[in-house]
Amino acid sequence: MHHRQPQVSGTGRCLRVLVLALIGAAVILWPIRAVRAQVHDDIALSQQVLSSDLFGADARALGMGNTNLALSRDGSALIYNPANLARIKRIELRAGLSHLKLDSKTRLLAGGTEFPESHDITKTKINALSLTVPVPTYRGSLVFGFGVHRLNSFDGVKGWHGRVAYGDTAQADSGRAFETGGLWKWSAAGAMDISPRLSVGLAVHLLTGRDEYRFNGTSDFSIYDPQSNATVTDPFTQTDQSNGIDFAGVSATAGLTYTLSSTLTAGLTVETPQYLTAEESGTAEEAAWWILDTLSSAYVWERQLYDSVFPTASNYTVVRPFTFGFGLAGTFGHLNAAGDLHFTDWSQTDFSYDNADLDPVLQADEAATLRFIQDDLKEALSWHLGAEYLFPEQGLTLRAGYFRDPLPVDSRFIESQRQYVTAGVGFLIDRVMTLDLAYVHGGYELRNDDPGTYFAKYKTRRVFVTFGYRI
Amino acid sequence: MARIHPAAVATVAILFGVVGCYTILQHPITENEGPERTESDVHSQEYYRQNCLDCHADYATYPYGYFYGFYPEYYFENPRWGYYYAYPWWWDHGWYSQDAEAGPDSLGAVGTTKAERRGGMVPPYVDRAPAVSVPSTGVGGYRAPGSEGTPGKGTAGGGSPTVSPAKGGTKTRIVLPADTTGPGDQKDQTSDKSEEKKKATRRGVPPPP
Repeated sequence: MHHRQPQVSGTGRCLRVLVLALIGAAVILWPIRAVRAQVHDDIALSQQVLSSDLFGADARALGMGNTNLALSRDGSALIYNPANLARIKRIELRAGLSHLKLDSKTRLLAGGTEFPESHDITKTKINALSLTVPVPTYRGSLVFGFGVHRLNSFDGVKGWHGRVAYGDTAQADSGRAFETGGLWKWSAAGAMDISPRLSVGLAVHLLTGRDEYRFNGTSDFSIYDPQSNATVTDPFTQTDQSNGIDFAGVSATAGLTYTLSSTLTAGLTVETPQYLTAEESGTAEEAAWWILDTLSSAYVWERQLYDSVFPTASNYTVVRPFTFGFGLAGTFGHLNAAGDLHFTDWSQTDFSYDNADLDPVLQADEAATLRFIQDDLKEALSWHLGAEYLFPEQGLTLRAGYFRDPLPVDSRFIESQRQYVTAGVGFLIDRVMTLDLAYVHGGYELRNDDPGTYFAKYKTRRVFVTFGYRI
Repeated sequence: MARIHPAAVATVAILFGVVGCYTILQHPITENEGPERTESDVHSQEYYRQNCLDCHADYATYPYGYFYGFYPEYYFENPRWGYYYAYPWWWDHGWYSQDAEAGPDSLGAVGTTKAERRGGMVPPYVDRAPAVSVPSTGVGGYRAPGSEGTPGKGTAGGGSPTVSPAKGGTKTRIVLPADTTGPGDQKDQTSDKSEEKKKATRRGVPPPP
């Protein structure tokens, strides 16, 4: 998988047997720790590629728990259910902004001590732009839509540190990973009524995006040598890694909307597998030093062990499986209520390097990733509930919702499941513009295993603003 | 690059296959069919748009014509909601009007009636609007002025329509007077009249005949 840590190689001249042993241990152990950290990265920071974390595309939907399969009546139908485009009667321009504040808190349990660390980031970005054009009809509806939505956000940060002592030896680790970027969905869609109560729609999507990843980590061993009355810290290892991944892909969404009665509407969607190709490139620099710290003298920096820059490059393909959605919405006077279900069997995800057969390292990495997918990725059924109450004379709408979006990984990695509460407000301004705002609060907590020695808790606060203008 | 999944191809094929099942973009040419038909006998699309109620008396009723659906009551009570969410853009851009090419000032006009004056939901082929609000009766609904008592004289259908509620409170549709509707609409007509009598009684005005 991506964010590969460099293959550590190279040895240096040793001054003492003890130091040599420590160097060897560190060189061996560092990649192991790196790989472990990478598992966290794959789940926590890069999960958007593999998992179901839909960042959000529309303030109205998000204000109602991200429910929109049966209820959408605007350009967001491009993403949620293209059949609902058939409800749009006027030419619509729609644009949205998103603001993210992500707090990450990590805990490393080592030697009976807990090492907490926290970081946060904020990001404000454009996340939606669409144009919807209904075709004049005598009967029924025919609507075309075009748009781009920021489907997934890669924005994230986390850090960790810890130190554990075993008698006269101690080991310390620290690291920080920072990631930014997103996956965009360019959509072209059409929808029409095929009966008075039934609408169908189809959207084809082009996926593009970039993921920027930076990692910085340090590690050292220290040991007290009573014979020389010295504490030897060796080696001090530092890794700086920078990766960029360009994504491109295609998918399609088919939708149905059926008006069950004067108050109830049902929506059904099927999204085909997403074929994502990734081109990853970057560099990783790893350096290690011996550091001899005597109690009787100043620090002595013996020599540098190595300082190497490893270029990293790989191309791979991820195929995300089918996603099925079902939604039900009801209109009761001024109250709209909706519930949505989304199902994906993530264990059907496929992954392959372009030229794994030529590179044994990639071959092993591919096998490990496929094993991870098969063993640890699971089915996920997310459910969403939301409601809005309208004050028509004021042109005001108040919204609230909740959604539980389970992480599609084995439960032994999950300390607390992913869930969000949402609230929103909408305004109809004059008769040509809507302004919707939504606030989404929630998060989840991961651990490295059960019962876990490493925990990463993520809390997000997202604010969405969406404008709609109809002419 | 990724392969195109067969399901996507199949879905596209199905979508193309259903085109024309229900949605109609162009009115079929039906006048004076036969070998003796001349070019002057053929009506334009604009003609059909302007005179739809001549042949389709129930065009404004659910589920036949364009104006159908289960629109909530507040779309009519507060026309800007209906205008924003349910009023087709071509209704106020002269799609039905002979003055469509008269310039920007004519936009929004059907004859001399601006779209907004017709209310948020009344289609341009239904004349003698605007719709007016009926005070809350539990089922809501709207009706065109003048449709109480004596049928009006609409330019398109020969009768003034009534926008009236259906059972359930959110389904609203336009119903034409009895003398313009076909047998298939008689049942709806009767129930709407009955409903109108109830509403009129509650409003303290004489019920329609």
